[in-house]
Amino acid sequence: MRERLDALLLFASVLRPLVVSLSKATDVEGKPRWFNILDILAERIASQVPNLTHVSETTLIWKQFTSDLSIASLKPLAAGVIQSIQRELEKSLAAWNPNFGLDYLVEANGRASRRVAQMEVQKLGRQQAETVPVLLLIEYDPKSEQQHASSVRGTSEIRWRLQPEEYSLWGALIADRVFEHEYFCHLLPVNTHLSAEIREGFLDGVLQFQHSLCTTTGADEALAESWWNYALHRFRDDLWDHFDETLDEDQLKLRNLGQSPKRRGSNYWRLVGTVLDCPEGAAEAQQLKEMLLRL
Amino acid sequence: MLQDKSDRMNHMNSQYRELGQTFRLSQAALEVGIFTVSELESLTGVGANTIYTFVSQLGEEYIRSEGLPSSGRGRPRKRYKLTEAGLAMLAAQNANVLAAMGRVRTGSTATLQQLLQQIMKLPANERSVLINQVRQSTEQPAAEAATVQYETAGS
Repeated sequence: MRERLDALLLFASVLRPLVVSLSKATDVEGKPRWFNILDILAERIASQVPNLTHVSETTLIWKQFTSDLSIASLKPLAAGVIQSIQRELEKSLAAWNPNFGLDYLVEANGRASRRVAQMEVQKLGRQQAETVPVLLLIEYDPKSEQQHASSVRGTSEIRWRLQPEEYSLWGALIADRVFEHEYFCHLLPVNTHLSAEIREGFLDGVLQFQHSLCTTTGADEALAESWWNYALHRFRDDLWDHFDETLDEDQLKLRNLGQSPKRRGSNYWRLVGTVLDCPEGAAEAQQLKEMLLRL
Repeated sequence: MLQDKSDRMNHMNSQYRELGQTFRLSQAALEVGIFTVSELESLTGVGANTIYTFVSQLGEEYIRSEGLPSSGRGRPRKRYKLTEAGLAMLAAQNANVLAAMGRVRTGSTATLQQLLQQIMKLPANERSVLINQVRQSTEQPAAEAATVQYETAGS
């Protein structure tokens, strides 16, 4: 299991800093777009990871990827970025250490908890943030039957599952966003009975709206946020397709409420605070849901 | 192997197909914030020309564009960014559509046609408000839109 995990996270860690360059290259050169290129790699990784026995075999997966005719015929700018990714891959393998993959996830976990803690202080006006990094529990799910990520409040942990699916590369690229969702929508709210409409709808809408607002065209770092927004959207669509989940109408309604700047400013954040601080209890959770649906 | 994701029908597209392309484009634009036409095409499966129409209709108050380096052929590429007002407008517009559906919907799988039929059973004053909300936020097939206009006029 460990080699498979390391391979996926190795690809994600060398790709992540170069996705912006790849995107800019394909902006100039046209098709295939950066996300088409990532799709091809995601498909190769998903099909080969179950058979992988050593992390060095990532080079064989990479060769399969670069042998694809769409990749072999890339125009100069995009081909240059692909070469840079290959160099980074080779460098990482040459300096391999057993914690490489785990470090990538731990860093993503740290970024996620810091971002949610920052929201608590800066947006919710709390003196001190309640969010602190929790333990990551990583599991291999070869049949891709379980949730990709989940949280356990009692033991304060986030469970993240390696699944040999195409969405896994997208998920690994935006692991921080996946963890951020777990912190903000599952670990932070006081009431453990909150419905999916509130957690996956309203609260996730608040998170996503903050990301959409933060972006400004021009600066690379800010622009990269929009690519991660895209990657998150792609990841979720593919994940929902895989599990054939139905997107509840009330969930989408509350998601729009969370994304609605009509409730911006003190009222908006007071509303978010009310949801997060709703006292424990099934009846309270039901009342809160009904109240939000009436807004 | 290279297959544009617009070829496939993603989850939200299939579930909200009856709500029209504008709803799906608005929802994807809200989620991403900054996008190119090809990125929105990939997320929604909606054709490029419809997306150009969508962004051009939003206007400068709601969306800003930035030219991208050109490869020398085809339509100049741009990256679009929703303004705060644009985010507010699209979120409110989509919420209106869903609220309108919730007001008249009895099941969870009503098509637009069924939705319109249910709207027709409401009192005239409520009906016209809901019809306007749905009409502003979705792209209806011409025949359905014509039916609504006819029955509204005849009430």
